Amino acid sequence: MSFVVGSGLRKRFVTRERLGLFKSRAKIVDALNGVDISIDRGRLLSLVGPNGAGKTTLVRIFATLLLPDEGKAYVGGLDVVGDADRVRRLVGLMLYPDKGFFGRLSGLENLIYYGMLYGLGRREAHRRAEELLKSVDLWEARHSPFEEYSMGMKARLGLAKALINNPEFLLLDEPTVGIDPVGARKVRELIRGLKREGITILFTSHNLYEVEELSDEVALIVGGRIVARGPPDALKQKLGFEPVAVVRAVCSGEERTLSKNGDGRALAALVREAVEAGCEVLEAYVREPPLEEAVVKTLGGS
Amino acid sequence: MRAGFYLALRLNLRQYGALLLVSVLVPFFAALFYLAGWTAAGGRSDLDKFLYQLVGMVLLIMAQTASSNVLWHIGALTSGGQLEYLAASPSSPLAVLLAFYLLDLAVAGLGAAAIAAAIIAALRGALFALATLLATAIASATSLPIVGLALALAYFLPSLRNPSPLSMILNVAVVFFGGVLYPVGILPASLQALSRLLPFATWAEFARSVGLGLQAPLRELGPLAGYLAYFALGVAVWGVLMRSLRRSGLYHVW
Repeated sequence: MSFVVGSGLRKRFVTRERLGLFKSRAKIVDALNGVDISIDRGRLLSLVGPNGAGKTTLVRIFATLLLPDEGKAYVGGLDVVGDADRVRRLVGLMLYPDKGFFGRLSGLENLIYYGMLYGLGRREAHRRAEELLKSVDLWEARHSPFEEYSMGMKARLGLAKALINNPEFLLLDEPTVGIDPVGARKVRELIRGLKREGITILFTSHNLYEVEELSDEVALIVGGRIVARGPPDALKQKLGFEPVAVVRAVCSGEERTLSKNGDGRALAALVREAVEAGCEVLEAYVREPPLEEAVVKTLGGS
Repeated sequence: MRAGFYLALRLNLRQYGALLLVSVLVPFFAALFYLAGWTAAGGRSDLDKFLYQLVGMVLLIMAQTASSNVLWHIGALTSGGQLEYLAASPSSPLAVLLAFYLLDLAVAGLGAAAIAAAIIAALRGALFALATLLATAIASATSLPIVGLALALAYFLPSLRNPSPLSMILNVAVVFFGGVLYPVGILPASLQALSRLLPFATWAEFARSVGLGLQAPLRELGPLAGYLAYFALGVAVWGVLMRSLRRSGLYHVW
């Protein structure tokens, strides 16, 4: 059995849509429509999909913050509804990079507070907070108030907060949103380090380059359903996107670009064909379609 | 609970200047009310009236801490995303909130009570000053019904998205029916009946009897214990609120 399992998860939100002073109507949103998901221990699964697809809803169910209407979810064999208290001890959560902290308190004080929420004594929480502040490169700013942190620093503190209880399962919901490229790269390096430590991670992001860079597996979620899933390369193939062998050559004094679906073997064949046709090969390469292209085209974008 | 104490201590340390200012305002406002009464009575008003207002102001601050502050803290946790992280932790959000309240009350109440006790010591003697401090401690211990009212009203926070209207209701109830600034006996009978339904007036009168009368009206212990039903109601409503948040996911309102 996988370390994280969700089967047949459904969640419907009912809100009131106001039509006038005394008129309103129920607005129903099916956020999850029977999601099956599993993550093996030590693996990183990324959820990608458009806004409102159900990514955050799924994250919140595994964080015990939201009750599913139907279906079951387990973390480490524990039911997220029935054993919520025990699940909370296993899970580290980062929901947004810039929220959840007390602006007037320093980064260190914020982390000590969160450590104490997870049952650490004050001294132990202090020690753990210092250790994490060093690892996320915030040591110099540990005594500065949170409200003076940059967005990137806030995100790194959010990651440190998610790790305060030494979680076995980490939920990262868009941890790099709104962060500058340098800050985002730092966060990605930290996540890569956590993967090496063997932490199981559920990650969501709209930045598909970082998803491709970090993920063992990617699940494409649309309209509350997982429509495709697999390692990034396999997912691209599943979505009909294959690597393309490309050869740029000069034939009869004219520059031409030759291409063929396939990888190294297709490239070798293409080069051979060009040479046999008397062309001078200028450049030959295999073009991997980025995950972003595959996902965007699958979702109907241009 | 320890996390709540830690949080409250750290946050209060950041605003001790403001807390000191509030404490200093206690004798100032008590003097203003006394002057108003003195003027209205054509220059006839004894010192006891000033002491009545002084202890009343201390109780008013404590009642505000129990009602308004609790609501505003819940509002702040909701709008800042902290409630969501708190609910995702193994700690009980209510325990953290109560710890926060207790330390808040200790800091705000102690400051105001210390200043009032110093003035009472100068005017009435050390025994009355000690009794005022004891009255403050008793008022702290018996303030849970007021917290209960705040917790019950917190149910409406996710819809209103602003603690202001709710804290306003409680503030009006404390000031007009609470017996902190004037005895409820001067109100019309219908309003007195309304006042008896609320936990403020008995709470204030008990503390004032200890502080200024050096006696504990034991007959009021029964009603004080009865008002604890408001706390039980608040805890129950809070439980309903947290369960409804787990269904709706509306922990944050920003």
